[in-house]
Amino acid sequence: MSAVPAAPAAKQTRRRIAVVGMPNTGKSTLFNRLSGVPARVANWPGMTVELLRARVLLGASMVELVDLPGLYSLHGMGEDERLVRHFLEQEPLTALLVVVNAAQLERQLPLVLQLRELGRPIVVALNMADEARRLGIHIDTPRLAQALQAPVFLVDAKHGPGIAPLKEALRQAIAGAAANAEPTIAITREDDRCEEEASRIAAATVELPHTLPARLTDRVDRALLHPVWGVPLFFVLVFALFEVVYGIGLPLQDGLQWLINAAKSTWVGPALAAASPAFRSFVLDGVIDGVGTVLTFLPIILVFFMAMAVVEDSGYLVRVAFLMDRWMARLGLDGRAFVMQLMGMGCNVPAIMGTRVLRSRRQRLLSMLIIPFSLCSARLQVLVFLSAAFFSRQIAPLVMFSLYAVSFLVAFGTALVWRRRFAGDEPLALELPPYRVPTLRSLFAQGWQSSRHFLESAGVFILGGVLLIWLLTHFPFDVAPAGPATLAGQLATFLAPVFAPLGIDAILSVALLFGFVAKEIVLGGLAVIYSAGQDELGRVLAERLTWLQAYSFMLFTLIYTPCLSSVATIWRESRSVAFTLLAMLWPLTVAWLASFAFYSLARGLL
Amino acid sequence: MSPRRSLLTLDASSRATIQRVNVEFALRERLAALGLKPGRCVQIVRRLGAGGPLQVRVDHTDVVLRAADAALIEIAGGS
Repeated sequence: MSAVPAAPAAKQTRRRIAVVGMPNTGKSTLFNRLSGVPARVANWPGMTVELLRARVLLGASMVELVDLPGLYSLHGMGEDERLVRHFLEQEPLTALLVVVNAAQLERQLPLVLQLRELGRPIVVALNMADEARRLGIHIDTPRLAQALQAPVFLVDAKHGPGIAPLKEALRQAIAGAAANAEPTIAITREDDRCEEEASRIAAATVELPHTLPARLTDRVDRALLHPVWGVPLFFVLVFALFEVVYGIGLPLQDGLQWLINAAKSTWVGPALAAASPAFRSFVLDGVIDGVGTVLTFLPIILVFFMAMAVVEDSGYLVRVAFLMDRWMARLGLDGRAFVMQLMGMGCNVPAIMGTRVLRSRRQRLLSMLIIPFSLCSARLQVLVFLSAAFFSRQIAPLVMFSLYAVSFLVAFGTALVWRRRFAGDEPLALELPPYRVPTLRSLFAQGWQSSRHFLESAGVFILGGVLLIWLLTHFPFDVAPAGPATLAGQLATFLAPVFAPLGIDAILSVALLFGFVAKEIVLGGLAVIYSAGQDELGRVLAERLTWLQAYSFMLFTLIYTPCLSSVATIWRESRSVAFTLLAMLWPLTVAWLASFAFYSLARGLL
Repeated sequence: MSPRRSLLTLDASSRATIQRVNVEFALRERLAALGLKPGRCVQIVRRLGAGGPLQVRVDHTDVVLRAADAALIEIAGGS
């Protein structure tokens, strides 16, 4: 696809479809899905802005797809709106592909109607069908198509379903229109009529999920959004949530641990009795101890993500953004940044991608800089494990609480330090939806998705990282495992000057090194380093380290360089090598300083 | 008809009509998409302290905005 001028010659032969929709409808994802190739960014003749375009074969004809910037209304005064209007009025087009967020159909329909007024064939793609379904929204597509007098398709651009019929509809749309029609209709201004029609159509075709009646929502809000008690209530709710997660998750974890141990001692151990010692150690100490220890956290992860889904789907998170906005404003951020910090407690990656809702680049960068300090479920495993190993049942929850506090302190401290450099002036306008009763289907979808993700990453990253640590700590095979003569021992000696002031045992630093790939590896790595499964590992660790050293190690694990997936996401979202480096080195520096400060102070005092 | 004043001065219990939305265009578009635009009837549901964000209601939609932005929305009517 070389530089093709949108020249007069092209006008006669080429058919062109413009992809239009509101911001955050997954327009670009759909565009990429349809074009099949990474789209080419091209300067549009006569325009100052770059538009994505790609050529797609629809049936027998080659069609040019153009991705227009997202807009709320055809009549807006913004730069993007002006550009889209100009494009639709001036450029020859065969058809329009209108992309709509299925979960917000009612709000987006007026734009669809405005676009229909242009008089060109339109095809409507209700994108994010999976999300709409998850939220319990049902759309009567045949009826909607009838009302709009245009083909309508539910699609899920992110995962793929619905793309083939959409392509077929586009093919038919351009087959009907002989060629690119010269623009004939100027954009009219009949917004109010469009809106009336939109709400009429929406009422007839969209079935919304079961929500609390407005009056009940108001009553709940009177408590949860209370100017004084709202924030304390939030903390009480979070505390209760964690109680539930651990109350259900911990016994299940013990059960799974028992199963893995039973399998190891009754089946795998005896079966490998005749195998070579190196292979035996590889399977028992590497695969089973390392990966098995990580796997026992599956129930906690599952329950944790299901609980997050309840909070998210209920509509409470937006309210948290409302409650926290006043405080976040002082950090150069807004209430949404606090919510992203909470979302990051599941996994940092989606939270970093969630910053897309921020239009101000500086504020986005600042959010991306602080999200990795959020104590994600991967780090949670390491920290829960170590706090259980070093502290009594009464103290361990307090230790975890202190780590959550440190997580927020470091995040907000980072925002304070960097706000001058990054703070933006993003305006805030959030819709507060009525409270929604989460559906069972949504719960299970969320639980299934997170478990699958966890198992997949356990299968690839964690297994790989843990096995590499096994190799490093056991090679050469004729010396004591994890001793100074092994590869890991030599690596540890090299790293010792950096980690010794933190009280972090040299051999432990090897686990941290690989934890950069995925934080769960730290835990699996510990199990491999000490050749111990979950039950013994705690005891072995407690014998070798003081609780001061352990807490210093926990602090470092919590704060240091984000995992590889997070770093990759930060790079993808920021498109800046310098910023990505900052996002890697700043946490590393803070982690070292925090552990050093804690370890030397605590040793001085105790 | 009472003189124009900002949405910020509206009492919690009364309603008023939006006259003008003097915020920058990106926010104006966003607010209009949520229903906050001239001619619409608006009421304040709650404020989180002085200078904190407000929850306003237009038709059946509740919207959160910051006090600084609400100060730029002109209303008429109400008390």
